[in-house]
Amino acid sequence: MKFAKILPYMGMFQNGVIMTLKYTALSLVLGIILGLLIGIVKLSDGKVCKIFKPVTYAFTAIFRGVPLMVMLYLVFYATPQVLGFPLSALGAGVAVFGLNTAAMTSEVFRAGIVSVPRGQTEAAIALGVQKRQAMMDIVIPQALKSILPAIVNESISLLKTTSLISVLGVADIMRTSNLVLAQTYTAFEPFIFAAVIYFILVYILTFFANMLERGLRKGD
Amino acid sequence: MKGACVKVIEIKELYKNFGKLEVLKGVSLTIEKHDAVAIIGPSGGGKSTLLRCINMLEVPSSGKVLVDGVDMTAKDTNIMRMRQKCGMVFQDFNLFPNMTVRGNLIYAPMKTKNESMNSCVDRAKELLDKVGLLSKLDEYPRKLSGGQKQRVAIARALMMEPEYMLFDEPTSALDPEMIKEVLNVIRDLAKSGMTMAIVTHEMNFCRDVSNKVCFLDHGVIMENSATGEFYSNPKTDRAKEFLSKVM
Ligand SMILES: Nc1ncnc2c1ncn2[C@@H]1O[C@H](COP(=O)(O)OP(=O)(O)OP(=O)(O)O)[C@@H](O)[C@H]1O
Ligand SMILES: [Mg+2]
Repeated sequence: MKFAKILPYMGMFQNGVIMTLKYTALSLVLGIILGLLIGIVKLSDGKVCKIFKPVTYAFTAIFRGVPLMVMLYLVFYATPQVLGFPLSALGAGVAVFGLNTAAMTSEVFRAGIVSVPRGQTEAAIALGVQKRQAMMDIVIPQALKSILPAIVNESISLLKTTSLISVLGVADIMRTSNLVLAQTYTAFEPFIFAAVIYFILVYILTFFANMLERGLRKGD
Repeated sequence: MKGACVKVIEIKELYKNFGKLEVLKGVSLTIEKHDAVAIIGPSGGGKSTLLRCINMLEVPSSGKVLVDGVDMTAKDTNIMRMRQKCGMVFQDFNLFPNMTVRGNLIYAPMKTKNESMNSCVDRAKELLDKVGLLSKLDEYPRKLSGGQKQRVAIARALMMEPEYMLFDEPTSALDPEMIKEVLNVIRDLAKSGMTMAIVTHEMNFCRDVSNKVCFLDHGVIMENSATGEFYSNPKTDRAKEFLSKVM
């Protein structure tokens, strides 16, 4: 093994890490905001929300059922054919990863809130507190205990999934390893290096998640 | 203490369905100031539903519920304001696990009455002292026994200085040795003149504390009489049968 061979490409790997983090962060923000909104629609009894409810469940079902690689090709190559203008890899990637995250986290938000016993809300409103207020003060703080770990898992899965973007030629960690392979004619070192980088990134995420979880576990 | 009869709660021809299931079938009941009404009857008879209809945790299908003469089912009634007059105690306590005992007690008065933290905490201490749990002020609910949880829940309800209280099987989730400490708190409340309705299976307690008994079976009030009369001379066969099973 000659890891010295890949040393000249450290700058490229650094850019690769930045690219991977960029896709992860943007998709995560899009996914969580959209996921929260969709989760609320799934939970709501309101008239307007009721119309959209089947759509939200279909949305989650589609992203569960279709491989992301297929989604990525559909959005990047097929959609422009329909729309008449090309999409950037960033646009297509963040759209697919973000929507996928939204589909998954919407379930996380929904299940988290449903998991808080109904008696909690009832006790609060029986004391004369507004339902919305009880949601904020009583239900959501309890729901977060199950929501946050699940969101972290989703983030970890997202970080690893972004390696798919390399098929569109984006120079993330994965694509960089491929480029290094092509230039050095050695496969083992660059891919081991990529694996180690992904592992460390996930490790850091997990570390912060554990800290957060410990902070949340005060009450029980 | 028993002055002129002031009607606190008037239930008139109350019906409640869950889909096709008819749970309450024309229930009428009046609770006067300082009454301690025991609501008893077989499981599934609609006791909890009746109690929950009083403060609109369940919305009646038809009929009227008047609290202090205010129609609870009317659209323009401020239900939140009306619920503040009512202290409800649940079978499974429903303490907020994300707050300490202090937090549980001061939460509602601070949110709904804009009361200062200091005056809330003072009252919280007073009430905890009354239920014998002042030392648990800064404990989280998970550290308390069932009996302690229920006493905290009663204190939490009293924090709103309610006009009347609703107890839905307050001791059914408790181990036998803890039932007494909770019943004693409720007994003291009744003695102090608090108006209350209690759903209970504790027949001795019911006999001893309530002044009226309401026997509810299959969504119908079969008997509604003074406690002594109910126990010594039940009128209906259903009530006789029920008593012979539980006494
Ligand atoms: N939210 C609900 N949706 C559907 N059915 C319900 C609901 N709440 C209660 N019921 C049904 O209504 C009937 C009466 O229930 P309720 O809880 O009022 O009885 P109960 O007299 O309090 O009985 P228990 O002594 O077991 O507590 C039961 O058959 C119950 O299954
Ligand atoms: Mg019940």
